[in-house]
Amino acid sequence: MGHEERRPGGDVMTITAFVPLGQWLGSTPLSQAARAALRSSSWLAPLDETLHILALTTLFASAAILHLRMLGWVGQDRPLGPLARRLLPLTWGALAVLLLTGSLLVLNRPGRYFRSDMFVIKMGLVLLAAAWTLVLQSGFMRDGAFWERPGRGWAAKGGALAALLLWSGAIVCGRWIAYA
Amino acid sequence: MTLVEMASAISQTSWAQDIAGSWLFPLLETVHVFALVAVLGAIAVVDWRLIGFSSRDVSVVRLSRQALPWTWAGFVLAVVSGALMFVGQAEEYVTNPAFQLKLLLMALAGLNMAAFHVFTWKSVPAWDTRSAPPMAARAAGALSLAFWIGVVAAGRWIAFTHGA
Repeated sequence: MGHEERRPGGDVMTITAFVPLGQWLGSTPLSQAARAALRSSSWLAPLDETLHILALTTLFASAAILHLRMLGWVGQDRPLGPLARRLLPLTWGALAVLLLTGSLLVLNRPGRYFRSDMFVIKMGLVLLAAAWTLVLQSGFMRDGAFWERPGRGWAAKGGALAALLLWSGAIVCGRWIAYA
Repeated sequence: MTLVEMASAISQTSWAQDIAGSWLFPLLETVHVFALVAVLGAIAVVDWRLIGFSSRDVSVVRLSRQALPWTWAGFVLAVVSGALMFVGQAEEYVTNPAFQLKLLLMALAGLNMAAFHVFTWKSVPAWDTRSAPPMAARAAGALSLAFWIGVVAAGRWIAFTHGA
């Protein structure tokens, strides 16, 4: 992800590849509109963050139930295919709300976010987790028992564990944006 | 000693100050987020079932039993991480209206759950597998969801009413 440099006074590596993107975003009318909206209202920011947390809960809970079921740790009494058909739309819907509510915060201060290692890493993790979810869903759409067919056990379990770690990592990075 | 004086005394102890000014604070916040996901996720699964919206083909008793360990584990983790964040600025928190509202909503969520278990749960064998539970159960589920969403919102509002 681009070249790295040492931050003055610290030994933390900084990802700089996305700094120009942040600067460009800051000059767009969309960013100006976001800043104006957040400045003019005292409740828009906390409301936006509340929706972000509720969507985060929905995404992580729906993904966790499905992936823990794939790992064989919960809900073994229910068939996987129908469970996935119920949970995956929730995961995607929640992701859409997360991107929307998150965009408002990023557009408010694009320079700050695109300069933050934690934010860039977070987005990378979200992208990987979303890509896995797409693979997972295409399997289920082809065949409800796709991930339970002989020979796919390791791919299913490995993917489920990786996805849980990716989403968890995104949450951790998200929380640390404010501190790093 | 008033509540505010007590809070002030707690927040001035050296260990409370250690938490407030170090990497421990974001770590506690992160733990709090994961705990919140477990509590709210598990509660919402049961609440939506009680309302009759989702998992309609699953036994209410069975679903509740599966959700319970996640609810309590998450709740204990949320209370411990929340309490440790609280002590560093205890005085600010107890006088913060959003924090007070959050505690009130948690108490209401608790009362709602207690009432549900004392009264409505007694008849659960009669509607355990029914896709649409009785009105009292649906109301309890809807109230629970509303209270917990309120807890999240009030929690988020704390940071915006600081020093208000």
